[in-house]
Amino acid sequence: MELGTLGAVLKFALDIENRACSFYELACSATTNPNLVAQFEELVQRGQKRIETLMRIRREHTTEMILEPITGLNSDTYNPITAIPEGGDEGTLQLVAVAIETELRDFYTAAANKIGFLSEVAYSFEQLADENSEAIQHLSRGF
Amino acid sequence: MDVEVVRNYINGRWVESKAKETHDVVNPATGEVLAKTPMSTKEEALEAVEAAKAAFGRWRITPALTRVRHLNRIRDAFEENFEELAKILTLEQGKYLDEARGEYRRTIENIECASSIPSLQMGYSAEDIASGIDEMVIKQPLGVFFCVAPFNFPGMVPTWFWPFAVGCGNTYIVKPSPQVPLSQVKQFEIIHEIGLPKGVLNMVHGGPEAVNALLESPDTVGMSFVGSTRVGKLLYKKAGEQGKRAQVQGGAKNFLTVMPDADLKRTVPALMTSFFGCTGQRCLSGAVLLAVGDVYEPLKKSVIEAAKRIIVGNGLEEGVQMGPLASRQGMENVLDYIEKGVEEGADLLLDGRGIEVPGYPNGFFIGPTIFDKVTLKMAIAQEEIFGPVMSIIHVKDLDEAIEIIHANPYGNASSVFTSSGKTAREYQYRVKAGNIGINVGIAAPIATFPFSGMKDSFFGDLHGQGRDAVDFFTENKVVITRWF
Repeated sequence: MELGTLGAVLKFALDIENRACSFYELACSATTNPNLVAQFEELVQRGQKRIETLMRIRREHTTEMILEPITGLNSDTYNPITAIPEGGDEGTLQLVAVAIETELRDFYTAAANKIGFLSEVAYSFEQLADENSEAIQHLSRGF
Repeated sequence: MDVEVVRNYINGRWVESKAKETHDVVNPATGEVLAKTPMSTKEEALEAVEAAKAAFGRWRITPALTRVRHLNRIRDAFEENFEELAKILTLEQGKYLDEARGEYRRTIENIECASSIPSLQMGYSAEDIASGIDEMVIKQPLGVFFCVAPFNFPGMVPTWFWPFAVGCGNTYIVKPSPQVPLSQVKQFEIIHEIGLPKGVLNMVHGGPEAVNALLESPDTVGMSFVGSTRVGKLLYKKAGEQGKRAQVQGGAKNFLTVMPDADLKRTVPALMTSFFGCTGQRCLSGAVLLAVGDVYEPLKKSVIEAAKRIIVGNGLEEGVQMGPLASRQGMENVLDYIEKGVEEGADLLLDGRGIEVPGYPNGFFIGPTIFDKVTLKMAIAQEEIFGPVMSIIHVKDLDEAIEIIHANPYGNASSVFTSSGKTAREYQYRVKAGNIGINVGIAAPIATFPFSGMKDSFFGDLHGQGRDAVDFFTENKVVITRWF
């Protein structure tokens, strides 16, 4: 689906953040590795903050004067798999988590480029993408 | 199915109107009747005046910091209810959700700006204007003010006025548009929960009877109006006869000029927002596109391509980029203008008539419409259409563009798209319009600046918002003192 408005972009962002949060919540109980549980718990907390951030962006940065159409951003390009793999071990959970973070990072990076006319939104998206990059590094250390 | 008749809010209470006549509030995307607006009687309007008058004495002696504390709480409550407020606005007015959110951002910004009134309302003084004599100016509130609000920004426009009026110590009556009262009803529900002192802020629904009663009452001191020039002129004259303050924001026909040196990649999206944003129902919307010199052909091609891509639909669906017209009447007016344009010989490049929006056969939809080869004598070049219609005129240079702009009676807004600072300066210097955009399609002043307007687009001297609003809602008293 083409994400042609700021509202549509943010709705999609909220959707994938919620899905990522649900994955990390379930992943906490799918592993007994304390380090990994701590990592996933941190990502759940981070996700909740990000959801609040996105809702704040929607309230505060929808600048009526320059609501220009957005082109070339499609939700089908970014569709993180957020199901817990059946019988997956710790390594698989980590791999799925890295894949989720990569999808999120790529989405926010692309979206920031498309929403340059709302610079505060672009800046916030860049920050979210940076958080995803950090999480990828953190999660990859265990491999 | 019975639908609710919305109630007035007078003296801190919800009051059912005794009016026999009502106006349907219609969801413009579906044609469904959402509620009914009572055409309140003269007596009901005067009841609100009485309540506001009675509240004025206590409210004006309330310290300014305490007064704005109420505004701050209203602001916080609007933030908490943001999404619901935006959805109600879309439901009754039709604009798409991002536009409704943008409108509520501005609504909140007005309240935030008015919360600076303890500073903005400060007067000034000088010592020793003569030997041993000092002089000062005090900015005092005047009494009961009211506004008559339009249908295109039903959430925001009343906040150009009342937060400033109330913040300065006046009391107030909001008269929403009967077509779209639900946004104000929701705002007043929130305000009621917060508990602003009774009578300070009131709401009366209705039409001419209520407005005339408010204007003719000896107990109101001023009025703010946003609507058509025809009605605005009548009210402005009447306000003058009554010796009342008035600020009247009327109609518009906004010309956007694109120079050959404009960055088209950045310009075209801004033009889409200007001409087709809010379905062309802003008083700041672009109406006529003046293409200067060689830019004409590439600009025309680009705007048609971009306009074709705009997604029209129910504004409540995320992803929709243009909602319906706000009313059936509004839609019919626009259809009439399109027909006139064809009859008068303009070249219809993109026809938005008959657009089908799946699932919404009864909505008041018209797609983006573009006319080329428009001449100055055509109705579509002269009159306010208030819909998603772009009329293109090819001009040879900036002088010709400005001549065309000045030939029109309106002067609300005008924009130029250029990469030349010299051209931009010349435009802002010469063009007689109240709000000038330089590479900005919608020149909408933020809350700290006055919402300007010139010629037949504005009657009065002090505008809504910002310091102008503080001056409008206060009277300067000079005190000269000498102590023996």
